[in-house]
Amino acid sequence: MSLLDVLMKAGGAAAEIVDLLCRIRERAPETAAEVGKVLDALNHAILPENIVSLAESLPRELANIAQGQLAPRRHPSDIA
Amino acid sequence: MQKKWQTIVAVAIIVGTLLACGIIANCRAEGLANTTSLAAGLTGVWYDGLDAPGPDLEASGHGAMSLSPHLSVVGSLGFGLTESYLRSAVGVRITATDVDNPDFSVGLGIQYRNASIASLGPSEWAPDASVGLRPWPAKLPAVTLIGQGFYGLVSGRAGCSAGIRYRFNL
Repeated sequence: MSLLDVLMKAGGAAAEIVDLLCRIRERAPETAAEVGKVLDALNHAILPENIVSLAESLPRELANIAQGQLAPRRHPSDIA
Repeated sequence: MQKKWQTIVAVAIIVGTLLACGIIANCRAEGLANTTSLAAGLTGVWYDGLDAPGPDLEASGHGAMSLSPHLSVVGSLGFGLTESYLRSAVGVRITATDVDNPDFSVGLGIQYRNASIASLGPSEWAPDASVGLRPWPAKLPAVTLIGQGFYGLVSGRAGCSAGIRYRFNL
């Protein structure tokens, strides 16, 4: 399984979160605006063209890591 | 033939160990606070499918090491509260949104999941999609709301989790 396959399957798993967010939006209409923003960002992130672009940028980052050049960031989703 | 594979595996283990040592050394040079995140959380977990176990509530610990703008190594340990079990997951996560936004991100990745009880499924690789949101970055910077969807490649079972995390300052 290639990196692109893994990312595509992960994108498929996002359907579970989409369902959950839609149920939250139905039960708590006051959260509609915030939930809508999250849903938009999620749906954009898992677009095939976005995933392909991500897969293309990773080899360069892996090469940097192998050369000891780290460029860490703080991602809220890392602790999910 | 077998000796050839043993040699290949041995070389791969040595190279992998050296690479891991190099990465850890660079993380330490970079500073733990910059590269590493540790958090505690409370999580609800739901599974799909007719034979799926019921929803669970977990107390969990989470760790992540950010190596590059998009790539992080992640892991977690969960303790079931509604049903007693121990669950673990280790893998990689690739940030699919703005890497410079500390308040919201979506990550796509894969983890190897284990559980101490059979009803939670076999040990398996499971691709996942994760969302993290800091809704109150000024008032409660350590608090993150999360959601995750996953799909077991062996069991074919999908599930999702949602919860809250408290990130510790390192």
